[in-house]
Amino acid sequence: MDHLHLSPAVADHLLTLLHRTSVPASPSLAAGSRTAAALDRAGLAWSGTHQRAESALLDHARDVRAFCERVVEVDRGFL
Amino acid sequence: MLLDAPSLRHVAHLLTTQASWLGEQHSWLSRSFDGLLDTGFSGPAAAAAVTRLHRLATPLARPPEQMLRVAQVLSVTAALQEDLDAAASRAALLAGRHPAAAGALALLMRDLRGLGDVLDAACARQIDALCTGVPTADATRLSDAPEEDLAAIDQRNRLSSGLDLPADVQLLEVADGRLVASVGDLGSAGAVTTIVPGTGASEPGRLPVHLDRARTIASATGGAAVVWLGYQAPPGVGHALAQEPARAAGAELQAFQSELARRFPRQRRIVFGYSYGGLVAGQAASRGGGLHADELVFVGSPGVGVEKASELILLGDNPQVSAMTNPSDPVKLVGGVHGPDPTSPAFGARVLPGDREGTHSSYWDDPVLLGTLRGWAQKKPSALSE
Repeated sequence: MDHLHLSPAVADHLLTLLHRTSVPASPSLAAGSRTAAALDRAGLAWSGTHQRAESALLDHARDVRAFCERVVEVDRGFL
Repeated sequence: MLLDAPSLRHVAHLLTTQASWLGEQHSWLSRSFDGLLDTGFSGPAAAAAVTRLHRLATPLARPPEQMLRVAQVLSVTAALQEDLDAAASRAALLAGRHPAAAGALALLMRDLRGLGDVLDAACARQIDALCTGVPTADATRLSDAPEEDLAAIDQRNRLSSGLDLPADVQLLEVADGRLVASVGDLGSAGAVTTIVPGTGASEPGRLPVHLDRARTIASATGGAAVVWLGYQAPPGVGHALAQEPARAAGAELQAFQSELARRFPRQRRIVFGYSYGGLVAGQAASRGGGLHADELVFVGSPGVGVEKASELILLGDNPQVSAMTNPSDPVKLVGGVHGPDPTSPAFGARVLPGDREGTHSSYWDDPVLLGTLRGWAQKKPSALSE
């Protein structure tokens, strides 16, 4: 039968994964050129990509943490 | 110049630094995911959770990768911009030492500014292609680049087409067998005459002839003249019996004139439809929306696709339709092919007298026609003349 081993360190480590990461800070050029506008568009794309990925990561880390907490609770119920 | 080389280099440096930091952050996250297993978190469910964390973090690697590429693009652009700046400095120095060469140097400076604009556009397209979903289709029509000035458009078109044109020509559109070029300073001219040539005009090797004709008209009017070959002109008389090429071309001409009106709203606009080109102009003016022209003249026309001048919609200052055909022009033999002769009274156009000895190709130095064009080009707006 499959098993899942949980220690107190797992909960602590999962907590560290819930910290937010730094969003890419895009430098900009003085407005007025096509390059400056393209750089602004790139900056928006980078922050969007980062925020979507980070949001999915945090959701998953929260799910794993909640799952682990439930497993620990159920395990205690058998004691 | 639109771009500033030191700023480009500075931004490239900031992007490289930022990419390095984001890369380290991504590595730290990956190590943290694996570290979860080191805490004793084990079993198939734990392994699946960690695998999923790695997968979800994969997109975080994209921004730093793209930043490094954009930094490279900016560095290359900065180097090219420095070359342009150096050339502009040399030109300014020469202008100070040789006042007699001021005209040529002013042209050089204009071209350098145009190249700077092309460089800016190319750099922006590279960044968009690398980082965003913004389409990077080539601008092939004047209206595709509404913010780009004519010098930049000319430079871009020359570079993309490889055409070696004289310095007095600006290449406004070139793609897919279409070509639109102007002579005279289109940006500052009080009037522009758009010449729409007809049968055989798209043949390779004919362009110098069209440009010479445009120069004659620009000189006569004191304005600019455009050779509008925004369509594949029928190669021979047999092909010129079909109206379909003219219908499609009419939409293109309409769009071109509309863009001229948007860019230069105070300019007087004359459309000169020659031979089959008259049918194109007629189609443009009889489409919904009308044709931006103060004067529309049909010269040596085999018919213009409508029965009467009143069916043509011109958008201009007290616009008028005129027509001219030399009595011995053989085009009269095919009259009626594309509608009534526009010089016939029933058509209702103002008729200019043709040269009794003129032929189908003698209009370009006809003093009556050139004098009339001059009068139209220099006509004051009706609001001022009243």
